[in-house]
Amino acid sequence: MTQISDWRRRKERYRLLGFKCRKCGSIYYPKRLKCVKCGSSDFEIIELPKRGKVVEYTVVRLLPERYSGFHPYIIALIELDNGLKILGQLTDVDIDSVSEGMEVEATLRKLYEYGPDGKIIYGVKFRPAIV
Amino acid sequence: MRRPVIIGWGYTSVGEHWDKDIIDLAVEAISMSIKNIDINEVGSLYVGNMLSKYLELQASLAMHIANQLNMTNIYPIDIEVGEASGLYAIIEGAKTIMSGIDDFVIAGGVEKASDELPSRIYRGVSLSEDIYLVDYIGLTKLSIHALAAKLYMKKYGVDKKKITYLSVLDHENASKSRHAHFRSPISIEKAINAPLVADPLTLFDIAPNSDGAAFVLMTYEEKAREYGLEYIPILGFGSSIGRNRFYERSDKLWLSSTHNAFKYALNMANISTEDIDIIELHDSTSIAGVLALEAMEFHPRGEAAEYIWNGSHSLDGERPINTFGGLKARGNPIGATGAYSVVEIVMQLLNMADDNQVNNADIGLAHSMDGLGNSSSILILGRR
Repeated sequence: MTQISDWRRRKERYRLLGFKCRKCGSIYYPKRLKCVKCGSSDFEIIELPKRGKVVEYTVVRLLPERYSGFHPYIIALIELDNGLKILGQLTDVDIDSVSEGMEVEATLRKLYEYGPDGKIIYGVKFRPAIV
Repeated sequence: MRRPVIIGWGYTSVGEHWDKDIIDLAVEAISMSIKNIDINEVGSLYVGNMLSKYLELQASLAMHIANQLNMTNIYPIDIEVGEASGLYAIIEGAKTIMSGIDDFVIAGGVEKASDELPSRIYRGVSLSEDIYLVDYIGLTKLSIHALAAKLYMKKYGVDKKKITYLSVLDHENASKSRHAHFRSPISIEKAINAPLVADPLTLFDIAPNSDGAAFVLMTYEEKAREYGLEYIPILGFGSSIGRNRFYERSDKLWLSSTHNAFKYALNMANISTEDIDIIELHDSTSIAGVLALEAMEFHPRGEAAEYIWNGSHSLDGERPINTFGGLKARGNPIGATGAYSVVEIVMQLLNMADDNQVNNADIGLAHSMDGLGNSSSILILGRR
């Protein structure tokens, strides 16, 4: 992503916006241009549920540029409360305490920055749900 | 329609070539592939590569390579389909021969992955995933393979060591191969106890990112005969794409793109699954290789790892795979990997595989894919 595309996709990234097909109701995150199920291009933008549970997860230990400061981090397959499965990065969690079925909630966190004088990019990560 | 055949092949050793640039590697492999024809008879050059614009900051590889080879009347095309680029380039070459536009074509791939810092490479190889997921979630290619491995073990109750055993087989085969990146055998204990890279995958479940170039020289059957050249026909090929978001796939353990590419290739070659004697699999991870074998229906689902474990796919087994070490041990020069698979099948079918020679192999299959089946391509070669 470039700084301009960071701006262009800010809402989707900050608010966890999903794209719901007006014809058949399928939901996608992030954006899709054509519904896989029915082929429609007519989408309604909706806020996705901010809570869900971990279906499966892995600990990323070979870190890509932009995330090399988060050693290690967890990528999880998360089932949101509306049943939609998405991928998310977990935060605020000890890697040994993550488990399948763990309740998580969305939270706005720093993703990466463009050098010491550049912009800081924020987005949604998931932390263990605070009851 | 003209039948495309391979009459020449060239490759560099796979590994870390500190003393060579990306163009040097390609020129070395192409020079080796030219046999008995004048290089200016070649009409098209297809260069598979994934990362030169990201790592070397060099665009238009084919044009620069052709320049260094003094090829002037050339149609120079770079092909990028992620990790599968090399095989897509060769398929493009075959199509050009079939079309009748060119009598001779050079196609293959080159990659120089060892020059950069690991974090740049890990992001680089992940760039064929949706960049939104890579940059805003921290998705890496390996994390998808890792999730699939966990789902697979849970669904089928397969012991992790049986999945990882593919890497042991790869190292065994590579130990006899002169061009492989890692030429030492490993034990299953060493493999499963290696450091974790993306749980449950360890360092020995994943292919390295290597340097290398492999190219083939193609013509059509009548022309090869006319020139009195030894050749291996291309019997069929196919390609397909899968859902690019792993998490949106209804069946996360089914590589539909590999399945479809395989069916198209079989149909074109007019052969059946049983006719295939040897396979070069795109095992960028051990689980990827296992899932690919199941997608091609060589085994029932959930059982491929068991067959590999039992020796069915060893060099002396009923259907050998990764005869020079596969991606794990021959090495994985990313955009060139599919081209190595083709070259290795050709060497097997011509009985030129030295210590890695499989007996009585008539038909071989090269499989290549990007990610865990974002796109897949298959090439079937052989005498029939």
